[in-house]
Amino acid sequence: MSYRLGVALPGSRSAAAVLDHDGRVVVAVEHETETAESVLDAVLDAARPHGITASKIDHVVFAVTDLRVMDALAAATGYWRGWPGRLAKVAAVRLGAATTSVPPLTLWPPEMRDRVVVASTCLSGGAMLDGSDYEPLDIEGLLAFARQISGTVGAVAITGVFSSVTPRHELAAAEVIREEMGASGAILLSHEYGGLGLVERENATIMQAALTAPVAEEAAKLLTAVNQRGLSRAEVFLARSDGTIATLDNAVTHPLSLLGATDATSVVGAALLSDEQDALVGLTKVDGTVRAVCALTDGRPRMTVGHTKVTGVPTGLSIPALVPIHASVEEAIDRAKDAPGDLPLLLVGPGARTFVQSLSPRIVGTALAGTVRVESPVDAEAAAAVGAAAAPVVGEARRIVPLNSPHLDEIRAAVREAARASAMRAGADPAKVALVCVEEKPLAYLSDPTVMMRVRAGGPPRAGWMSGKAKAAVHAREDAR
Amino acid sequence: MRLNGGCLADFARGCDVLAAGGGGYAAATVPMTQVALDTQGPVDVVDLADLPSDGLVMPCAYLGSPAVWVERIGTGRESIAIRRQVEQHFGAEVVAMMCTEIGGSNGPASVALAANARLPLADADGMGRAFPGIEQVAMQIAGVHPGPSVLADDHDHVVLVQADTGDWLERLARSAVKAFGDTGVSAEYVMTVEQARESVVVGSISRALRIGRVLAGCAGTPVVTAVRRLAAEFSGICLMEGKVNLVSPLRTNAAPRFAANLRSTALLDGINGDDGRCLRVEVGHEYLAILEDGEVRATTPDIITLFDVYSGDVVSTDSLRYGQRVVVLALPCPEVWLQPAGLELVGPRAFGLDLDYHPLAAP
Repeated sequence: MSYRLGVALPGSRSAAAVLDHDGRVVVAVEHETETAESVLDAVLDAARPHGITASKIDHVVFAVTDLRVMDALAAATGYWRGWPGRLAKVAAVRLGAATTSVPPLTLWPPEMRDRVVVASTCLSGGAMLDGSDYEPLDIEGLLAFARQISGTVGAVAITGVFSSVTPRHELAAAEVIREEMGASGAILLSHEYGGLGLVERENATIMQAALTAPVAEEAAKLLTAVNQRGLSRAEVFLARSDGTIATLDNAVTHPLSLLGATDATSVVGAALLSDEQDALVGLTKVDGTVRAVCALTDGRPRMTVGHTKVTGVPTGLSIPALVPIHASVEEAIDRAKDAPGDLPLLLVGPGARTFVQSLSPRIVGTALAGTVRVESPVDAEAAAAVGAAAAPVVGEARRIVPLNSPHLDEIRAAVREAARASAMRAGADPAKVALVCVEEKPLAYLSDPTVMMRVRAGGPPRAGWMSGKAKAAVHAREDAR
Repeated sequence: MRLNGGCLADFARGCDVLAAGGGGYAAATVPMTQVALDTQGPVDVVDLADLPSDGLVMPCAYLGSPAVWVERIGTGRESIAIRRQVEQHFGAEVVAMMCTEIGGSNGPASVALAANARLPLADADGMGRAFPGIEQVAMQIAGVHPGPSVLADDHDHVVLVQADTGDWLERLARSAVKAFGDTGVSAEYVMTVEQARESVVVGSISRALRIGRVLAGCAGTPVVTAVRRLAAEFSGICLMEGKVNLVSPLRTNAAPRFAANLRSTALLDGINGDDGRCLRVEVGHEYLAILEDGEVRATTPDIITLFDVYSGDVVSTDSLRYGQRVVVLALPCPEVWLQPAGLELVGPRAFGLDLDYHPLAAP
C-alpha cells in the first residue's frame, strides 16, 4: 500500500493530509503554524496509528503560496512570504527591434526594476504571424550584449516577437549567449511561458528568471524537512496556480506558476471531499467568514483570463478566479457563476464549519440563495492539503496555428506531443499520460484564419524511484520491527 | 491645452467611456503613449479655428488585428513615415494630427502618433465615439474623399493607395495590411483645415479629458453616483443599475458589412433602486440599443456604456458575462450623426437592427 501526503502552507495556519492510492483521505490535520516541519510532524503522528509509516509515502506535495504573496512581494521589504528577497540579477533580451513603442521594463515599478534587472536590450529578431522572420536575428548584437553582461548576471531572459508561432530565434539566441557566457546562470525563454502579448510574456520571463534561484533555495528547505522525517523515498511535488502539480525541480523553474496554488488546491480538494465536479467553493477564514468564492468546473477551479499583475508588473499569468465578497456571500455566489442555475456551495478552509453553523438550520442542507445546498464536507479545513495530494500532473502546450497551412495535421500533432512531453517533464506517469483538453480559439480580424491552440495532457504522478520488490522488502523490514 | 503624462489616465478613462463597449480598451495603448510623451514631450491640443486654413489635417489610427498588435507593438513612429508620404502627395504641409476614433485604444494611440510626428493634435476626431467601420466617420458625411489611403508598418514600409471609390480603397488597403502581417497605421480622409472645420467632430479630445476628470473627481463615491454625475454634466441618462442575467451566445453572420457581422443580446435585471426593472441590450461590436417594456430607451449612434459597479471600469462588449453588476449610461452622440445621411451610416439599421433611431428617453 502506498500513500500520498499533501501539505498546504497558505499563511498563519497550515494543513496536511494523507491519501491512500484510491484517493481516500486517511488522516487530515489543520492547525496554527507556518512551518512545514511542525505540520509534517503533526500529520505523521496522526498517521502512525493507521499503520502508515514515512517509508510508505510515495509522494509529498506542497502547496506553498496563495494570492496574497503578490502583495508581499510588492512590499518595500521585498519579503515574498516564505521566499526571502534574494532575487537573481537578470539581463533582458528582446528580439524585435521595431517594438520600441514600449521598451523592455517600461511598466515596472522603478524599485522592482532596479532590484532585478542589470541590463536590457532590444535587438533585431523575432517572427511574423506566418512563421517567417520578423527581422533577421542580430547575432553580432547578441555577442556584444553577452560580453557586456558576462559575470554580472545570474540569469538571462529572452523574449522574441511571436515566439508562440515559432521559438526559432529564441533558441538560436540562447545558444549564442550560452556559448559566450559559459555555463554560468540560467537562460529563460519566453515561449516556454507561452501565450500572446509580447510585453506581458517578457515581464513574466524576466520575473521567473529573477525568482528561480531563491525559490529553488526555499524548495530545498522543504526537501530537507521531508528527508529529516524519514520521507526520503518520496518524490516531492509542488502545486501550481491551476490546481495541478509538478515535480519540485520542474516547478521551481516556473516560479510564477506557483502563485495562487493553495487557493487552487482548496478548490480541487473541495471537489474530492464532496464528490462534486461542478459547484461553487467558498474559501473561509478562521473566524468563519467567507473571503472569496471560486467556481469549480469539471473538477478544476475557474481561472482568470490573465493580465495578473505581480508586484505591479503585468504578466499575463492566469490564476484562480476568486470573487471577493463585496456586498454579501449570496451576491458573490451569483457573480462567481456562469449562468443563473443553482449550484452546491462547498465551504472549505479553517472556518468552514463555523460558517455553516452560523447559518440558520433552515438554510443548511437546503439552500442559500443561488445554491442547491450548503455543505462543509468532512476534513473541509484541510481541503487545500487534500487537493494538493490528489491533484494530477498536467503539462500544457500553446501555439498559434494557421488553419490553411499545408502542414496543419503535423502541427496539431506536434502541439499534442509537446503537451504530453510537458506533462512527463512535470513528473506525470509516462504510461498514464492522456490528453485532458484540446482547445482552438480563433484570433479575430486576421486575413487568414488562425487559431491559438492550447493542449493540456496529464495523469497521476510517476511512481517513486523505488517500486515493486525493493519497496516491498523495505516495508517487510519495517513491519517486522 | 497640452496633454502630458499627468493627464493621460483621465484622458484614457474618458476614451473608454466614449467607446460604447467597443474600440478596444484604452489601457492597451496607454503605455506606448506614456513612453511617447516622456521622450517627445507634451502634445499641444489645438482648435481647428487656430490653424492655417490651407494646412493639412491628418487623421491617423492603428488598424489590423489586436492579436497581432499585442506582439508587434510597433514603434509609435509609424506616423512619421505617413506624414512624409502625405506631404509629398498633396504638396502641402500637415499642420495637425487628428484622432480617427476617440473611443477606446485609438484615443491614446493618436496622442502617441502625434507626439512622435511632432505634430499638434486637433481637438477633434472622426466619430466622437467608436465604430467598427473605416467609413463610419463624420468626414464621409461631409463628402471628404477618403483617398488616398496611406499605410505604414513598424518597419517603415509605406503604401499609398489611390482609388476612385471607397470600396476599392478599402479592398486595396486591406490587401496592403495583409501584406504587412495584419497590423499597421493608416491615414485616410486627409483634408485641409478649412475642410476639417466643417467635416469632423469638434472638441473630442477635451471631451474625453473632461469625462475622465469628472470620474476622477468622484473617486471614493459609489460608481452609480459617479455615472449619474456624468449623465448630468454631459446631458445623458443613467438608465439603470442592474445585474447581467443572460448573455446570449455570440452570433456571427456573413453580413455584407463588417459593422453588422457580430450580434448578441444581454438581459439586465434591476438591482438596488431599480428592483423589478429589466433592460434588454442589443450588442454588436459596440452596444447598439437598449429596450425596456417594449420601448426603445436608447440606440446607436448615441453612446451606450456599461460600468462595473465594483471596479468602475467600463465593461466592453466582449467581456460582458453573467453575474456582473453594472450601471448603464447613455450619452448623446455628436449632432452630425443625427442627419439622415448620418443615421444611414451609423444608425441601428447600419448594424442590422430592424429599428429606427430613437432619441434618448428617460424611463
